[in-house]
Amino acid sequence: MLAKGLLLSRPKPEARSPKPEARSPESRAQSLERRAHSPDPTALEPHSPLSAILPPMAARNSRKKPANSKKKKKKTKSRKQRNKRASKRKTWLRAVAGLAGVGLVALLIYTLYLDFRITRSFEGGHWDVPAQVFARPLEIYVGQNLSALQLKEELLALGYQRDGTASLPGTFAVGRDSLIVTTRGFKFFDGWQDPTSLRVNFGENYIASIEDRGSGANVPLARLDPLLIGSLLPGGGEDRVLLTPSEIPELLTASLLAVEDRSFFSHHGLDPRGIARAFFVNVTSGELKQGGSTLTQQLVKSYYLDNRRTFVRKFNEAIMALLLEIRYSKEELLTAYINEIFLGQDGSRAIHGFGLASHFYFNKPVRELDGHEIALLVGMVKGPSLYDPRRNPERAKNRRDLVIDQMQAQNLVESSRAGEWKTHELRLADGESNRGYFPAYLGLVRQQLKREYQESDLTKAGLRVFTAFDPMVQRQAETSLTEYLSRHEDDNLDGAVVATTVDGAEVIAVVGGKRVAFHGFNRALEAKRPVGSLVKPAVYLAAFESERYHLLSEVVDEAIVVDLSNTTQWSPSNYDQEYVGEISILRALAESRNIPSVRVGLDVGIDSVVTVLRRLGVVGEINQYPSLLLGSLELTPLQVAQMYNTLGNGGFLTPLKAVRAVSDSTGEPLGRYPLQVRQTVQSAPLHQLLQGMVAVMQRGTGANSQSRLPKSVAVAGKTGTTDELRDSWFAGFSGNYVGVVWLGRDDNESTGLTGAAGALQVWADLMAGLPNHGLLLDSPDGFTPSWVSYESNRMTGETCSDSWPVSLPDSTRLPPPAPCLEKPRVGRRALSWIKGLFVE
Amino acid sequence: MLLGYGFGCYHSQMKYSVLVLLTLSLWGCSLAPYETENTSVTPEPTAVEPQEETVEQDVQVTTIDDESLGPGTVIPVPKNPAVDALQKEAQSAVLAGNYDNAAMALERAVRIEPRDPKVWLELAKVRFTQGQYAQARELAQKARRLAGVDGQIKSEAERIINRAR
Repeated sequence: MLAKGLLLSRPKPEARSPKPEARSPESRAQSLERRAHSPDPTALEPHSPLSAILPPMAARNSRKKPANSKKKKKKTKSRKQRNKRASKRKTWLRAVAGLAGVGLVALLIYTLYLDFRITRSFEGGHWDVPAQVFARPLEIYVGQNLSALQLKEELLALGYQRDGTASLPGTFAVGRDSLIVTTRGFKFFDGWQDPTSLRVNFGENYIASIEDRGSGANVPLARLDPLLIGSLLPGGGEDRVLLTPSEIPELLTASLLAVEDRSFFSHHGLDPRGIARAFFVNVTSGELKQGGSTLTQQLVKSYYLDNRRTFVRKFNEAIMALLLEIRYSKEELLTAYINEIFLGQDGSRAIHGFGLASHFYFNKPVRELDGHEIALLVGMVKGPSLYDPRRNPERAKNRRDLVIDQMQAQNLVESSRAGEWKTHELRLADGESNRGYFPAYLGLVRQQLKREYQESDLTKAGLRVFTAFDPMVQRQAETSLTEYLSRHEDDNLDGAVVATTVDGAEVIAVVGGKRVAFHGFNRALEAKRPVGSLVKPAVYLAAFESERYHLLSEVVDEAIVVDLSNTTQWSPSNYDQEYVGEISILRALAESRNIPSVRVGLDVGIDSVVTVLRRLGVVGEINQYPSLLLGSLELTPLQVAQMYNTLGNGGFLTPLKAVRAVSDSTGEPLGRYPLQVRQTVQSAPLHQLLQGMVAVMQRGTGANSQSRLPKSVAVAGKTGTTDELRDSWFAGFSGNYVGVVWLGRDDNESTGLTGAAGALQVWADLMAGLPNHGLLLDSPDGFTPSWVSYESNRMTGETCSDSWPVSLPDSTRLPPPAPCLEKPRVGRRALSWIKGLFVE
Repeated sequence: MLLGYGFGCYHSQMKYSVLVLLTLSLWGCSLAPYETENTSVTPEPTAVEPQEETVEQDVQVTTIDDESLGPGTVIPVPKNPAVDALQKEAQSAVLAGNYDNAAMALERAVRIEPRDPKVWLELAKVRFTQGQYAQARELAQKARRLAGVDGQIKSEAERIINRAR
């Protein structure tokens, strides 16, 4: 009964992450300790665990005694007087025997429970190899816009080392207008690629030629190994670079054992001599100072994220260490240790394992670490913050040299070499270049893979996931958002950015909030917000498809009252609360007038707007209320990216993807996400719409971005602002990139920003940093170019005042012509480039 | 005329000469200035250019478009060598019957030169050969849309569209 009670009071095992679980057993351990006043010091002694567990259990039992003895009193009431003494003795003996039995059972159950916990920690994610996620491999080809500086940055991010000869894989050297490099071999999805030695010659910010340094032959293209951007861990929380036994350098293992646990291969989880020594120190000093922990004990400790040194904790740790040793081989434990041990903190991100630490401190894979770098990391195990080489370089260096001495003492290194290692300064990667943690993008990867793979496949099977992630674009997106927000006073303002390629429809960057390396609310994927005027392109597309409207059709911009039902009415208004009367769709779209959108939408039918949205790739619920026409529709930034990608992609709906392909742990192909296109919008209506979206950027609400973007690159887009300025949106594209920016507050309060004042600024900053191709508006068959006066919407000539180029279907009944007022030459220049957009 | 394909790029280099313009358009837009934050070593050229030059640029473009070549002219264009190499890789994969590898090589080419109608056409052919007719038709439509006035690509694309129905 007692055992059952114990079972029930035990914290329920829950949650995948060991963290919440870790807390409750700890509090339990503490309460046990509190009950057992004056714990027997032998509790630390592993060879008599019974004596250790008994006092607390006895104490616990004694608390239950009042209830127990009451029952017994009732039973024995009648015999009480006859044999008082004997009965008393008997009861007492029985109680002791019972207690001992119960204690044994409890101990057994407790041990089983610890076994369950530790095994689960060990196997639940820490032991399995989670999917490794790779960025896109950088393709290097003749004619590419890539400067020597950018290539160098990519190589450094990949952990390539500078080396004069650049003859070994993973090394490079920069010359004048050229760069030599030997790439690493890599197993791509489409096969193994051998290391190659290349010379890349640069023109001004582009690659002029590439030669094979062996044969001297011209190489049309080459690709680098892809950057490892993270792993998919159970629960999705931490980042880790998992090492398999074969990837762990021998020197790392040997020096780790030399410093932390020399008898690792001979003990059974505990090192009695170490414990005795620690015990002696602790008893003589009267406090808990030293822990004679073996690697196995340290591993257990690391699973439960608690460094308090209580005796009961120590006891639990000892039992768990013994259990681990029974269940797993030394090699398995060592591998787990090397992947698990805590080695520092990067803001909110804990650096666990030597694989990640190697990237974090030196920005290269473990296999490329020098001996002195290994020594530094091994030295840090003792106290990652105490010996943090960035904060306490002097102390870290001393500790490193101490480790090198130990390595030498254990004959792991010759003395001359050791001496040489000690002369090295701490050469650490600067914090900036190695911010290689992209939780928002990994969230998208996980979301995409979940459709085809089990969670357990992702976190255990060691899959290799090849994505379209572009570190250069990501960095640009992060900087654009965070710099804008840091200039802004509202601390609660946050945002999200999604960038895709147009034709491939690959998501290449995702920013889920201003804390870019923070694994938390991913606004790009999860913040569903009303899109406001971002919906208008769909409204006008429906209008053009109906063929009852064209780009120059006039709509009345006057107050309107819409009957929603017999009793309720809706009176939408323009953002500026003004009405301009008759206005062309071109202008209504460019200047984001609300009333024309409502009128046109109601006229062509809300249902046809909905079908357009569907064909643009919007999934999920769409309420068919008139307010849809002003963007009551709620979408995530990622969904908006899908919608605008279809517009930028010539009306071809291509499902956005982050993952290109997946292979198994040995590199054998498992599955690929091929390029799939489907034309869902015809060229003729789309061509008219896109002209309007270009006008947004030149004459309308997007015009204030002009100064940031090169004039030579034509872009199209749309601002979005919602009621009371709660959401500030911008979505737009060049010829090759789509960018979507949302700014807003998590508490849904006003941002004080329109789409143009907020999101557009971030968007322009992002686009200005990308190698854009201009948008190309090649007219479909049956279109004729002409000139219209933008304000008055009358046909005019190129050289006339306020002229704007349009290209319309031949059948269009154009507005009447207006007399031509010659415009000043300057105005003509400013506009003339746009004419080139229309390729006849 | 593949010029249309270079038009959207508006390289700052275009102003130099017609010849340069033609050569550049072969690489699609690959020579457009590329800046990243903090790393821009040269100022964005077009942004600081006086307006005069912009006009000059446009005049040249228009001239080439309207007069020197005339509509419908197909200019033999040397291809982006990387795309060329990938197309060859795809062709040999097709000959070996390995259509997936062919598609992979062509998709790499799409990433490098997304507006090259030839690559889309090749991809359509691979899908057609694989019996994925619906996808072949869509890809051919994409090729036709990008073909501009390139009559040969247009008619090849249309043939696939018709046969894949």
